[in-house]
Amino acid sequence: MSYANTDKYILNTPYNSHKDIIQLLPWHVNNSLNRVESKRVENHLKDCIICQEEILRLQHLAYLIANETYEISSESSIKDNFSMLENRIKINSENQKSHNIISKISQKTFGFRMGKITDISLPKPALAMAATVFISLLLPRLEFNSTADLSATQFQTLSSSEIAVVSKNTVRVIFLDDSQKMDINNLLSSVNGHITSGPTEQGEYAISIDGVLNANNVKNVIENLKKNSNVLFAEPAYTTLTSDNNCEC
Amino acid sequence: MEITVDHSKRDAALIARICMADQKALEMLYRHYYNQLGRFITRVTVREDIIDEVINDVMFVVWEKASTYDNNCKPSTWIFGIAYNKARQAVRDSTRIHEESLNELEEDNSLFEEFNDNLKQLEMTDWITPALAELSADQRAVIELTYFQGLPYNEIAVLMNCPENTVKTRMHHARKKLATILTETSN
Repeated sequence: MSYANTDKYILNTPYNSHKDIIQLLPWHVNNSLNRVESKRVENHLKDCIICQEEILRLQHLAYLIANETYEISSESSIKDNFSMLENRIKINSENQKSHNIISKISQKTFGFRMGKITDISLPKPALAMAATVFISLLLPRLEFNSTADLSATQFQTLSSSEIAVVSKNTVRVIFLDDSQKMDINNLLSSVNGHITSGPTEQGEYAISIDGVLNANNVKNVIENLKKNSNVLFAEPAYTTLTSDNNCEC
Repeated sequence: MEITVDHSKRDAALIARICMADQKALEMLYRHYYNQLGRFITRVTVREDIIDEVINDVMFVVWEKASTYDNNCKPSTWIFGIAYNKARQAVRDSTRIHEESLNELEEDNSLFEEFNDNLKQLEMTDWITPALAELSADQRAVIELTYFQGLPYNEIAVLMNCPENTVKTRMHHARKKLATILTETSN
């Protein structure tokens, strides 16, 4: 394109309005417009007083900014800051390495486990047999442990054949409401017992049996008490009775 | 004024070396750009206390992302683009902190009076610095890149990752605002 044609092109382009040209002025001032744009601005400036004034203002602004004082950092300051950057890079690199190692280990471990599971290609009966052997080996150990636990806690139910002996030879007894005091005293004498506390709100007495040394004797006493028509309830005492219940007999 | 333009080949070679984890090349590039970046970051953030930190943030990205530089723009445009983003991020952070500290200082009027006096004195001696501080970070960036770095608007658009017309509009608003401030200061 010749210069004559260029001028014709510039004048015919739609970007020659004042609004368009004034927006290019800052870059006309810093000499960064291309040749076509520069020509367009120059042509416009010939006739536009507003843009001529604006150019002066922009040149002043450019001068102020370009000559504004900025404290240049010293060599030692730059060196110190670069050392900080180096440290940052080093730490980041180490963290990255650690991260990669952890990723590899977890990938390897995960891959290994998955491999073991997926590599198992035994038929179902064989797997069932293996599971049975495993359970049969495990069960005796579980049973032993549960027995040991029971004996350790002395846990029993009322239906147990063995009666756990409490520290006191005490039985819990509930008499019929219309029982006579004399009848009760006679009954207690027959089993060498005496009331230690009660009755509770439920009408329960704690009776201590004198001279009873083992669980079988307590069982016999309870059997005898149960045979008596004045006795509604008789069982070994554990901790149901409270010590603050006073005897009203 | 046009400091970085002449060194494009040198900078591109240094970036290529940084891709190979050459820390010496990084140090050279760091030294070449330190003051330019410092000035640009100060201009955008209007804070001098965070310059070193932001420069290191920028150069850390250069180190980490050197392989992503594709020669489509000048190395300086790429580096200043990173600096622009980091500076904007710093402005966002400092705005939040500033708002928090303003809330804390709200009751202490004496501190505000002292600050205003200092600002008035500054305006009388040097109007351009406080005037530029009145502009937005984006407007300050356009002014700085145009008048100090001497970049064309299309390169600024690449650097700021925005359309060319946005660059022109930002410059237009910045000029209007500066003219108003200058008139007020003169009065």
